[in-house]
Amino acid sequence: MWVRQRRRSGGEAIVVKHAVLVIGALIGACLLPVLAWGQGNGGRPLSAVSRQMLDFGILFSGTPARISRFDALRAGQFELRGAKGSEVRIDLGLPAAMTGAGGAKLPLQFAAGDGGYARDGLIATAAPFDPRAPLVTTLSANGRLYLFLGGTATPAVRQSAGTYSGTVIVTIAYTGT
Amino acid sequence: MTLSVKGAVAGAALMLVGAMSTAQAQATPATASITATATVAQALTAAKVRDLDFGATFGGIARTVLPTDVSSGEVTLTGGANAEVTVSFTTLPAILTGPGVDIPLTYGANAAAYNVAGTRAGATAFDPSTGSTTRLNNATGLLSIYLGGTVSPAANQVAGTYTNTINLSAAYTGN
Repeated sequence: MWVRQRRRSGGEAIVVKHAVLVIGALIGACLLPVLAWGQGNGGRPLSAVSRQMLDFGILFSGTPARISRFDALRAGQFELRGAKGSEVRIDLGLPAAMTGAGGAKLPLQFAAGDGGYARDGLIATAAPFDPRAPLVTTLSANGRLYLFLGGTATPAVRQSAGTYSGTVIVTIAYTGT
Repeated sequence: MTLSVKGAVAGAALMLVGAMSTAQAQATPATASITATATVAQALTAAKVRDLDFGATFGGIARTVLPTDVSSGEVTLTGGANAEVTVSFTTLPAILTGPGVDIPLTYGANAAAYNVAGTRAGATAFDPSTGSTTRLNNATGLLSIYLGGTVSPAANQVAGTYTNTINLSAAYTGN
């Protein structure tokens, strides 16, 4: 709207040019930090993919069961993607219990060594982390990071038979560093 | 000139919008979720089927009941199909008590046995003093436990009924 008003006279056209240059400079100034930050992240949005559920299998009343983060068949697994080598913060939302029929609860516990992360996707050599606390690390050279999650389920002595489930949520964000 | 100016402004605006979109995409955390799941098997229960019965004995004559004998004690466990359990006799009395002096009761290394088929024939022997670890029937979740033993009444044992209590405990191993 402001540009249209300046078009009415040839003399003002020069003013328009300057104004545009000023606008361009302002835009450039505004973009600089954004683009620098964007370049730092490779301009790639983050994504998170669920690869495998945390499967405790068959449990027996009164008998706790622990799934190791090294258990390739039962440990929960996520694949995270983003800008190559960028630093990210990862938060896990961990349920305190799994829920069964009629709202019955089956307690879950997560300990310091129940989380694992690997840039190459190899569960056997994944580094440990405490899934109860945020994890700050960097994505791999190809922008990947793999998370593994174990835990312990503790059915009560009189735990009702049946299927129980809960949801583990992962959130990943660039730290901007 | 004016047209080019308009184009430049529009281009700059597009760049700004594009940059903002990128920045917003990058600033937006990504989330995903997985399910934690478990299936709780049927609770483990134990039920007496039959007492260990030595029947009529005579003074000075030991009598042995094998776990495969029909008079052996029998307990049936019921639980999750194919679940592994530990079985132990938490009380394994060394005597029977009655109107006279106590009658010694002993158990050999093969005095106990289990069978997922629910029959004494073909049962697998084990030492009742150490217990055993085995699996419940992979279809029915049943396991039968049998117990025998040997009583040795004294030569001048007072006639009468002598008894005691045997307790068995079983628990899932989690395997």
